[in-house]
Amino acid sequence: MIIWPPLRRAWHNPIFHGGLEAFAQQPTQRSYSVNYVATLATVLLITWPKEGFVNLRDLPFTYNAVGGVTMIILAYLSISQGATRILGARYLSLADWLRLAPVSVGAFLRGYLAANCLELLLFWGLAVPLLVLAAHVSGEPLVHLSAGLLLLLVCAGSYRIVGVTLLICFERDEFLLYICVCLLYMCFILGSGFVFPLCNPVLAFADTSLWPHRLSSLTLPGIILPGWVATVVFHMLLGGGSFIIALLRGYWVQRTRTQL
Amino acid sequence: MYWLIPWCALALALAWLPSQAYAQVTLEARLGLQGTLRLGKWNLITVQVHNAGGPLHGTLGVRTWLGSESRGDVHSTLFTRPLALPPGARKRLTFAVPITSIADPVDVSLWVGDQVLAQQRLDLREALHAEQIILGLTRDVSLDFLATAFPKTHTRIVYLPPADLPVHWSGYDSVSAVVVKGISLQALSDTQYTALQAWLANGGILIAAGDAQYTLLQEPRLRALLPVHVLGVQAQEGLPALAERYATPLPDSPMVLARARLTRGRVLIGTDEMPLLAHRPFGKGRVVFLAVDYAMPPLPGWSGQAALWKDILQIPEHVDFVREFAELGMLDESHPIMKLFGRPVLTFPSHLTLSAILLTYLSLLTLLFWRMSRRPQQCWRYWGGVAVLIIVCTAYALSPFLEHGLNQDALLFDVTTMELPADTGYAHVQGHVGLFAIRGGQFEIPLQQADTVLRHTFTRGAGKAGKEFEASVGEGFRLRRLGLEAWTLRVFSTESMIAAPVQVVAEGHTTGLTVQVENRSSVPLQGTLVAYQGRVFALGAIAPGEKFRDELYPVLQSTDSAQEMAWRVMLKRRPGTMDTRLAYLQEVLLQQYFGDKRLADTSDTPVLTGWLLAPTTLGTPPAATAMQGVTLVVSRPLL
Repeated sequence: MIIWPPLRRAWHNPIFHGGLEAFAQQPTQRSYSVNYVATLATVLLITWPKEGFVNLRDLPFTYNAVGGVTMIILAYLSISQGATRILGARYLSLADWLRLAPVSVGAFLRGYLAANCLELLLFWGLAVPLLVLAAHVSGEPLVHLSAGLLLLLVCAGSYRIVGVTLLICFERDEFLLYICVCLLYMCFILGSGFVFPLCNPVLAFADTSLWPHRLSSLTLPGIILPGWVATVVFHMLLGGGSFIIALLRGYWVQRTRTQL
Repeated sequence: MYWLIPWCALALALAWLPSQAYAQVTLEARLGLQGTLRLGKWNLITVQVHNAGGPLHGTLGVRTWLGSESRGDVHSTLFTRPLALPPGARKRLTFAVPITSIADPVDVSLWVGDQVLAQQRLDLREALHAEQIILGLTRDVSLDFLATAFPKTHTRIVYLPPADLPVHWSGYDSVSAVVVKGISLQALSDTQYTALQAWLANGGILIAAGDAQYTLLQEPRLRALLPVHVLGVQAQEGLPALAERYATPLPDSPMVLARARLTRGRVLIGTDEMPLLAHRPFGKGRVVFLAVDYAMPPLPGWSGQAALWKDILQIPEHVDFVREFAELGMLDESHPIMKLFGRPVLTFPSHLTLSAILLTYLSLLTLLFWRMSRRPQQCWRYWGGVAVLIIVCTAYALSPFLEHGLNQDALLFDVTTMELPADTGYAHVQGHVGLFAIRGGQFEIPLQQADTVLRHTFTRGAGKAGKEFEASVGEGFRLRRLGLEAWTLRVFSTESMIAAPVQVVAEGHTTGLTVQVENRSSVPLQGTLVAYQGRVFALGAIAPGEKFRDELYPVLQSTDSAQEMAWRVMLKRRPGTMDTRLAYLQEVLLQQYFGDKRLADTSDTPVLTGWLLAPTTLGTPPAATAMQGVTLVVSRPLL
């Protein structure tokens, strides 16, 4: 009941409706989806354990391999697709939309992000059956699987918001936008693993599984968070922070409209 | 008057205090048989508890350490037993525990909840040690000379009153032989007598010596075991047969010896009508009859005494390398459970099935997207189709029939060999148990027999195992607090003696043999075979309670498979089943029992094999643990 009013508001959001129409008609998403599932299926097939053997020396690899690859692809798709316009004509920028659309910046951003998240949900959902299969042969309980799926969703969602923020900030300079997307992606997926492992989503995914915990716990006053929970919290803060930046940039763009 | 209120409140509060708070308990523990230990065996720990306070309901525990620091498998086993003591009561309990080294002490403690009421530490360095323990059930201490009769083997003689004899066969594990003279076995309780018989069937030696009270040798319990029927006593001048056998002169002084007649077994000295020394096999053990009283002159000073007792005991001087190597962990990799894990024991889909599943998923997805591009006006319908496809595929992937084994917290395997020593009424059960924790946790395993002995345990896998566990021996035997990390296997080798659930009798005749099999268990004996002189005779399934009799004629049977491995021949003729995992369990058991021997080599005497398709070592496990067990029944009946 608590989530019903925001959902109703989102449904009546014209930007969300516009995004939804654009998403439904765009052929690129379908092509991406098929390629994405084919890649994950290949990884699953390669890492599938030998028929019925139990290798006592190594923990099951299948779930972590499929989960890790899903995270790597999903992160790139989220951040890069977030930084790509999904609304309107080719020559109409997001800043133009912000200036021209008769809605507030908050409503615009919420609607735009909701439409973006629908796309994210599609990619996330397509991976679920394969992850469940992988978890099954790796002996992962449902709790671990749920934690892994939650982590995937939160991390990909926050990268999506980061991508949208980058788009709003650097829309006019496509090269700079491309560089920022690549740098941030490398930083989140690769760099953080060496510098600040608690921020690394791939390590956090392994941490939710049966494998020995790769991440140390985060000790805060009065509370000890498991490594993967700390990663989820970090990504939620990252998403929230990015949304605030996007909001501020939106207000600045709208203010320039009123000045014009 | 008001002062009475707090006074009454205090009295009430004291009345509500747990009774354990008042328990005044003293505990006294004693090591081994009269302080004598035999390392590498199960030794007795006798604990006497006296409660001078209120009623007590607690737990008595004995902790021992096993394993090696260098191998990294040191672990402690806590043997526990519930204890209820009324006020003023005194109770004596005995534990049979494994002791392999004197480095770590044995801790005995009594606790209620988390509160330890009494404890005692037993320093094993202060105990007496022996390589061979001979238990005397005699009225005198006339066996002391045996302590020096075996110069290569450090021998100790222990004298116990009948009341102190073990009540479980495992209590005799450290004993090499029991000598009975002038003591009635009728004085033993039923459990003590059963324990003695079970130990004999498992390789023990019982020596009954002549005595002036020859009627004790005619009593039912001893008569049932002896190789002779004792008729009375007779006086005789000297024992020329003994002197001749050991080439040592014996003075011709008057002696009294038990007059007997051989009923079964073999005479070593004397004749069938007048045996002086006779013995009979009893399962893997022996029962020896000595007609003369070894404590009567002139035998105590006779120099042939040592040779005579070597003949009587016939204790092999060689080391049991198989057991020693197993306890040192050198045979771990060839353990049946390890062999089992080399087989496809899990049932998840093959690569082919997976390919079909993935191809279907991808094809349906592509089809929906293609339709979407062809009919953009109906794209929402197809997006709904994509959602339905994802949900259906997820539900299918979640279904338990895709994979049975790994959906459980743990997998339990029980592969047991049950040997039926001929003419004893007992079965020697050797269990190989594997607990594979998929997700880790604390586990509890119930075992069927209360007097099970844990011979060896080790761990394998990606995770680690807890360094201590509890063996609760109160009501039934339960292994508790088995802590295992995810993807870890703990293996146990167990041994127990039970009343034989299958009775096999064989009689030879000129053209073949007659075999009679009676299944007294509650499970059918399946795939029963008799291998004899390189031929295999199938007897089929024998239902519970059924008695089956058959005439077997080896001359009419072909000998094609006589040079084949015995296990392979038996495996081919196992009961037909669709369960491939069961076939792996059976294969592993047959390989373990028959090794590389050929059928012709193993079947010079009749060998009966059959399958109880049920676990015999393990009891019913918790619901979250999948168990599979099978028992190979083997009998070598005497002809």
